[in-house]
Amino acid sequence: MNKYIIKGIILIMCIFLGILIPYQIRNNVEDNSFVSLSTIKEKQNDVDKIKKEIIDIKKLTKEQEKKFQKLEDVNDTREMIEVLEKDIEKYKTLSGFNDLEGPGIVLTVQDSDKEYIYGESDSSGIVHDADIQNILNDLKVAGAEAISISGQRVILNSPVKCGGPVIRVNNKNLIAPFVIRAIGDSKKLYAAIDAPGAYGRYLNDSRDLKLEIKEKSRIVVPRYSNTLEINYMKLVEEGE
Amino acid sequence: MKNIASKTLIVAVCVLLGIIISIQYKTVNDVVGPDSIPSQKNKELVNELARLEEEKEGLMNELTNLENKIKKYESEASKESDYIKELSEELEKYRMFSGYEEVEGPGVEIVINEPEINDEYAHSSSIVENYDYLLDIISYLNVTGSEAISINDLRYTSYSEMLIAGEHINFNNKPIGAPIKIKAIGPSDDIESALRISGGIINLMESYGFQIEIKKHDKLTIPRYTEIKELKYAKPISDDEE
Repeated sequence: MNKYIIKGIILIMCIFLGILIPYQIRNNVEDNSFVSLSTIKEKQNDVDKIKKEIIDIKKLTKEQEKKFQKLEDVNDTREMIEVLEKDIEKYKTLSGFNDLEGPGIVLTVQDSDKEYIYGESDSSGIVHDADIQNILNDLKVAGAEAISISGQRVILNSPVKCGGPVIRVNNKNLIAPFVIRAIGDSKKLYAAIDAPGAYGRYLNDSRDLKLEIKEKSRIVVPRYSNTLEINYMKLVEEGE
Repeated sequence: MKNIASKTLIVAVCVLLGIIISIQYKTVNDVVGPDSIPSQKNKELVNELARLEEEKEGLMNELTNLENKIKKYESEASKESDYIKELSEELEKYRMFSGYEEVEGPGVEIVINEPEINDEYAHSSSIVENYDYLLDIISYLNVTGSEAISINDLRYTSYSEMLIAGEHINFNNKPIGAPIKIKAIGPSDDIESALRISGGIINLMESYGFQIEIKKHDKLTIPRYTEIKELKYAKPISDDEE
């Protein structure tokens, strides 16, 4: 009889323990939840991004402080006009509304000489908009300061899109060969196109497109030929 | 005989326990994902992010105050002369266009999420490795007349570049990764229909498993460019020489 009582107690203890353990685990879940690796990566990117932005903003503030001090010294209208005109020139140059000159490269991209076989669907021998987009991006990575394609200045809202046999840049139809001029450190720009693994090299070697690069000590990149029109965006009002 | 019976019972219970534990383990794995790590690191990052965001906002306010003071000088001067007024309006226009002002207006927001990890898409599932999709989206946006574009709250400018750096893309020299949020101010109906054209970029990306959401907004705010850009090689051609 005694034996049965002991066994009964053990049974009750076991049941009690069984209830207690999952309860405990559930309680802990909130504090110790799991997140996926990609969430961590995302957060890490955000942190790195903001750190760099803070450095940028500090620099920008310093520059604007200088400008403010300059404005404080301005006494008459003539000086004010001078300051403003200088500023306009600066932003015009940055956004592509001035003709620029400097050292750089001239890159000619031409369709492949491969003969077209009737009925084939292989279009790898033709220069596509994506090819030009990639080359432009590579040039920007290498620090290109001004780029033009066959005389059309590439500015920040220049689309580069295919349209049948032509590529449209700034709403002008361009036909191969495409002559890309880029101002910057000519050695770096050259490498951005021709280095092993670069997109330009791939076009030349794997796609048989004809690429020709020349380093020049002085090239001219024309200004954006349309006028600046702003229809949709406006300044953010203060006090929001 | 009784001994054997109780031993069998224990064996049976142990087997049952083993099955239950493994089922539980599998369920947790399914729910949370295979490569999960405890949230402690995440919490640290979230805290750091909050701190940095506060710092950034403070600095940004300081900068805006300073620029407002500059603008005040300009507007006071423009009361005296119409020419100055004209000039300061023109300056504002170019500053907005080149990305040095925060702007607002109607537009679209595009959110791109990477496909879930899956054998079918394993080959080309990362937006980082396929950043040329982003270049193409920008081209589509520009074709339809977008006036200001930002990617993950970084303003797109004439000098914005994309470069693969390990597991993220460097854009304006800052790391970005999935999810990618692109904002564009412009004619939102045109932009949406251009992006959604059948056989277009969104179609292509969706066929590779990317999850893409396009939302139209009446009012979008796009932040300013924060870098100082100085041209080292290119010089303006002065008209006097010619």
